[in-house]
Amino acid sequence: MEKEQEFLELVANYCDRTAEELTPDMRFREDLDFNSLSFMTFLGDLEDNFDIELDEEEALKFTTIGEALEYLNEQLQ
Amino acid sequence: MAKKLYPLNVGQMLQYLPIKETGTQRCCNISVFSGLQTEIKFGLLKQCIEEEIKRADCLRLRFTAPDKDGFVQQYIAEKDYRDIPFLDLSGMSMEEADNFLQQKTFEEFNDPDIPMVEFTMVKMPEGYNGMYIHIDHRLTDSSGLIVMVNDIMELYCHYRFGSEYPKPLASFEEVLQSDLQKAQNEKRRAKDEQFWRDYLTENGEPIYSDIKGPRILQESRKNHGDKSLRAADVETKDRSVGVADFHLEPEATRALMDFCANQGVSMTNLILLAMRTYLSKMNGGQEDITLRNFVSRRSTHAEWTCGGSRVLSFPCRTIITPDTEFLDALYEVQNVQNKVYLHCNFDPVEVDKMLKELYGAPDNTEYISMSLTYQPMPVRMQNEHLAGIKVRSVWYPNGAATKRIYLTVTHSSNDGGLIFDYHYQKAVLSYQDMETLYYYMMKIMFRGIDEPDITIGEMINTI
Repeated sequence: MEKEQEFLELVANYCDRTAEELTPDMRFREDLDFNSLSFMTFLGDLEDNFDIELDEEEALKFTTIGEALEYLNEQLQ
Repeated sequence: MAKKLYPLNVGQMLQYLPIKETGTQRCCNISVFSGLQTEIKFGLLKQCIEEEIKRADCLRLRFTAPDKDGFVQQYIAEKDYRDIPFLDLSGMSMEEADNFLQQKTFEEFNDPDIPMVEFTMVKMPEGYNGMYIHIDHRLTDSSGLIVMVNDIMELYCHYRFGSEYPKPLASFEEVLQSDLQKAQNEKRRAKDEQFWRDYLTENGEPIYSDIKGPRILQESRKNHGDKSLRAADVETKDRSVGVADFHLEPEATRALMDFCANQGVSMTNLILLAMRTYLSKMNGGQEDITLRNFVSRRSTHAEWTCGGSRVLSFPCRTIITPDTEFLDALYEVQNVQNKVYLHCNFDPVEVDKMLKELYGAPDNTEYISMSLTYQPMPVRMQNEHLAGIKVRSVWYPNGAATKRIYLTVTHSSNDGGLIFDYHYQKAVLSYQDMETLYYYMMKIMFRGIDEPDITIGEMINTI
């Protein structure tokens, strides 16, 4: 739960929303205005903040917050 | 209280190195006039500029004298009182007024421990009123400057018309602390270093390409007596800069943007593809092209509003065969750029050092002839109280072209159309060269969005 909150706060840094306003079905590009640069920077932060190694090809397939969070949880297990 | 000293961050250091090399701060100046074609209450504007200096701590940045190795440190002055002068240029022609402000651009901030930005309120010809900002690049880059100008006008509208008070800007000092801390992350640094080493080695040594064709590289090969040389000489004696601006109409701009949105690609990548395709055309279909792309490194809300110089540039190398369809080529550019973005906090000076170590190109040679900055945010002034008023934004070059061709693409404040602003070294290129380059870039982009399955080879042969 703590990790999920940390994850949502990280996403919120990149968009004009608070962590509380974010829902799993929100799409990075269409709903949260991520562009290529912000999305890739976000992935880098994800690696650094949670000390994980992302598979870039897999990570580039994330379209929603829920998908990214699910992947993060798998990596943390 | 003792002032807290910080080293320059990687973006600032990149701006500082030319100062250290040339001994003059001039190459690090940015100057811009931003105004509206309407009456302005200059007393109120002055108050808003003073308030902005309090709100944006990057405007209070100062630098120490260089140490024995020539490096400076930075600190933020707590208060910064100064006069904001007023200049009436309305009796001049627009060309004369621009020339006057252009000359001011050459003024230098060479002393330590002084304010590194000057604001001047200006009454320009043709009814334009606004401000001229002359600032050291280490305090802000173009994205940061646009945020600041927009913020000043939001303050103006708040006090003049009662619109909402603008949200606070992020603290430059806090973001700097975070950046410096991130730079200490050894794991991240190792990953980035490995990426760049792989990127620079996987396809061997890059090769130069030029809009003037292969003869530029051939001449360098003769000069160095090396038939296999792959880097070309850089013009270092005469760095005087020429400027060529072209405006793409809003409807045409919209067509390009819609295409990008529908295909899930960025405008930066579309422009990079147009640049590389023209270079390929002019160099006998050369498949291996390297460009330089400037990355804003502004993604989070804090990074967008903290000011400072964050922009870094990296090589964008693509090898695209003639049978590749336009859309696939665009995805290839995007694929390369995405990887670069993931590793764009690495010091570009280190990347250049790696290139030198790997291939040993002679001093003062380059693999890259064209650089790009795409700036998606216009000087906005879109407050409802300013809607419909014509905006004039002029960026004055600081007189030194360190790149052969440096293209900045922005959106017009007035109609949203794209502005292609080419800065070129006058010693080796002409205005006509830029006209031709622009003409072909447009042909490539519009043919490509009309026929995304056209191959790059066919494009090169038929445009």
